[in-house]
Amino acid sequence: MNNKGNYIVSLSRLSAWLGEQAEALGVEIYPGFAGARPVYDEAGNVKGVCTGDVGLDRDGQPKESFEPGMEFHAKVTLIAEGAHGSLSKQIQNKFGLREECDPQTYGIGIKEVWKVRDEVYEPGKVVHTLGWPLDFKTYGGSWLYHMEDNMVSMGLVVGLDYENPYLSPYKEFQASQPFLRTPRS
Amino acid sequence: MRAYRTLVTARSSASGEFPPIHIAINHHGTRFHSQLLLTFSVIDHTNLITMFTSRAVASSSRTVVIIGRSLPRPVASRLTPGSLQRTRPTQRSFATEASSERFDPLTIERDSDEVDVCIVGGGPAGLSAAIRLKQLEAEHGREIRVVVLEKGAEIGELARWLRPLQLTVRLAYPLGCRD
Repeated sequence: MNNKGNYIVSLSRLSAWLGEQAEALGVEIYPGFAGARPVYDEAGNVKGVCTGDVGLDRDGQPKESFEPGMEFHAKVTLIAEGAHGSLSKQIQNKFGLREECDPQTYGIGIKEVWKVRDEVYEPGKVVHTLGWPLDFKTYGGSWLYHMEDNMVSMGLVVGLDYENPYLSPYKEFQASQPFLRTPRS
Repeated sequence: MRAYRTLVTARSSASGEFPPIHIAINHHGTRFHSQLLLTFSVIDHTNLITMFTSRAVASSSRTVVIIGRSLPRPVASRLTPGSLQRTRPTQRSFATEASSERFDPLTIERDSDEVDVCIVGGGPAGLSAAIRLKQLEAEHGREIRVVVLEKGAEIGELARWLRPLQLTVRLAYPLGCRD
């Protein structure tokens, strides 16, 4: 594997930076507006999305502060919600997009971010493990990134099909792996 | 019908999202009955006024156990001793049956807007797509309208709507109890 010369970034800060670039190019960004449902044309094709209504009570009835959501009609609608997006699921169900696909797989992950001493801080260091420190029957892996300002991101993901019911992903992560413990000491 | 206005002390019970709230009411020896409808509000240390309406489900001469849900209302700016006494708590019903006139979000009139590309999700994928589309169209000397909808309050911010409900109650005033 050759993966040198890349950056270690915070995804949220990358998104914030991308947002600035997009606005500079004239993209209209509306934060605080969630897409609530797709809008279909007469033929049943997606023609846009509708944002959520605000000011509904717990029974779904409008209150005094009710503001209906608005519709955006578009030539192209791009659903980029990430994993388990609500609009993605509505569209997947309507058009049967998940049929004859592999089922979704799931993992559980634990992440810690530490501010470490200078002596153990190696800016730019990246460690990935595949399988380790889990046993050979368990699917998973870990990461360790030395980010800027003495910050270290580390974590472990365990596939949720693990066979040992006593396995605790948290304890596996906290277990005595020297290289995971070093930056914390 | 009698109205009580007395100082009460309230505390939330053990952990849990909507724990029963034990209210000790100094009501000068008057006994509450088990089907009493209580409507009162409390002020916590963040100056949020919280309204409760509930039935007392168990009572003794000094203690009423309330099972209900709090409705946080940020009305700190209106909180003066005078306004406290004038404030009338709203009555809420706990009916579980649907009301006859249901609101249907599909039938109401909505504003709509025509755009070229509508992107749902202001993450790396959505924003990259928006940027690249703008760049490609600019190369061809064209201008298209690209809209990005993002659920979060700002781009790059993690969702914060799972903040745990705050139930610490320090001071309490009942504003009216009726029997």
